[in-house]
Amino acid sequence: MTPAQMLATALLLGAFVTAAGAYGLLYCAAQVSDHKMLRAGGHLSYMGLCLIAFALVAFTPLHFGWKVLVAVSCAIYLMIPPVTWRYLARLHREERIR
Amino acid sequence: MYRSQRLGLKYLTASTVMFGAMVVFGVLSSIYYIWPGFLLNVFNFNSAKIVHIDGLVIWLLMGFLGAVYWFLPQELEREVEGIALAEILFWVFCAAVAVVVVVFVFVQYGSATEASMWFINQGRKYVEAPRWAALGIVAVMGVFAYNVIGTAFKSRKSTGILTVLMFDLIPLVVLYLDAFPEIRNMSEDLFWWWWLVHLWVEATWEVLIGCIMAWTLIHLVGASRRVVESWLYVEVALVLGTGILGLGHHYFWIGTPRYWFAIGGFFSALEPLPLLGMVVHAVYDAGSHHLRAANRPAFYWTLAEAFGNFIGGGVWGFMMTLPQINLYSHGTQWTASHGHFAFWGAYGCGVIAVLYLALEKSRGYEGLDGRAWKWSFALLNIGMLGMVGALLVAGMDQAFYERAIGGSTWGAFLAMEGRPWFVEGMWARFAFGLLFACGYAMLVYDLLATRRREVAVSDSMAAAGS
Repeated sequence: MTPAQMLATALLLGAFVTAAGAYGLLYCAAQVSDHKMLRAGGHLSYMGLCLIAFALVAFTPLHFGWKVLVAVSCAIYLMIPPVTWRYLARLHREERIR
Repeated sequence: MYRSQRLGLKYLTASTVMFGAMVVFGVLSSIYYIWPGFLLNVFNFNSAKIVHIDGLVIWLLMGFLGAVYWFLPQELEREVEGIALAEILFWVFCAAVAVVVVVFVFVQYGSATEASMWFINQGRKYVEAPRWAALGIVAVMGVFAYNVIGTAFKSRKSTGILTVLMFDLIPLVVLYLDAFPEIRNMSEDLFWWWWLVHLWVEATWEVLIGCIMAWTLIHLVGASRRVVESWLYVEVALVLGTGILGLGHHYFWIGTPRYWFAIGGFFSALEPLPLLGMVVHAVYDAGSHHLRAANRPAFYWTLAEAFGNFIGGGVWGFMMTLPQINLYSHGTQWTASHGHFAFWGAYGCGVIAVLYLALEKSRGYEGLDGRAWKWSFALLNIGMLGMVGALLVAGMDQAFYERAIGGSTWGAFLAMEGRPWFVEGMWARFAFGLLFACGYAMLVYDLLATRRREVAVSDSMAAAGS
């Protein structure tokens, strides 16, 4: 790994989690306000996340195992906001029924 | 108000004072990076840094104790068991902290003898407090554990949050004992020392703040206990599941076997996942309350906690946690950037939220919502963002030139000290540190002004009544 590759890889890893956070935030904001722009922003953020994951897998000198981890994390990040949201909504719904 | 809650307020006040000491010594420490000859032969950099980082641990610990003493009697609807002992130990704790700070400032260091370790400095980062004071901390934590567990047993009642807290207190107290062994082999010493530092910060403290934030949500926005507790169980499982073996990311370069690369990297990479779940929860709660709550300062600090934890711990951590990157970033200002941001996001914001919540309950809503809290919120967070940004740039420059190109030699280290990006990063960190200090001053002003506003509101209500 050259010094430049080290910095580029670190920045991509940071951008990877930032994009995941942006996706989660916009997904939830869209759920709250039902706003098209927010929903589109959520989709765009996830696309950004996939692109960053692709860049990490294709262009960085990370070892194979870490590349697999990044790819799997990318898929898991897709599921976290909807699954968490549904879980929270269900908990609140059950609480209201009680 | 219960005696325990009065004690909680005292702890929160002491915590705010220690927060101030930490800020002062943090700004002082940052000056040495700009003028290395600053206070030469008067007050050395190491001592300033020790008070800064130990002050961090103590202000947060006091904040946690204050929060638990505040919420516990409300949770069990009775006075805390052994409260008189806890009250005595509060003053012992404060006196011990004051003596230790005086020793760190005026004595600073001693010869390599047993006496120095007992009365000046134990010599292990974050737990430098001399041995007598460390024993005092064990006593305080032991009594705290007795207060919580004893009260729950006496009242023959427990809640989900309290059960989690009681289980968490065991490792919280036991792990601190790791501050004491004298291990001569440095690798072995660091191996066990990280159990204390990492497992406190990324496991037991995470669970503790999880319990405190659960109580905060119940009192702040009237969140349903069942919902909060169900969520707490999930969060605790995920945080412990990823955080315990995430310990491995501290084992990369201290002489431990190679398999720690895989374990540390893998579990550290999973650590942002539960943090994203916390962001989702924060947005859910904020959305369902339309970003409104009667206690706005506490509400906004709670939101800042969720986002700060994700960005500081998750984003900043993931940037540098894989071994291939960590080989170069380890121990640079990059690490300091991550440390500042993660501590602030995960714990600092949470303690300030509790501070405002306790103020509301003890003084009423009326005095809370002014302009000063918004200024302090903005200045503290902008100051922190500026500091971590500056440290990140300086740290990346260090990792690039000093570590990757220069090969971590002494010459590369010295050359690094003069590189423009590093020097400018240190100046920017100092400037934003001052801004952060202004935010702290505004926070203290607001906490004191709340009292005056409350008195004014009570007077006007009394006048209207008469």
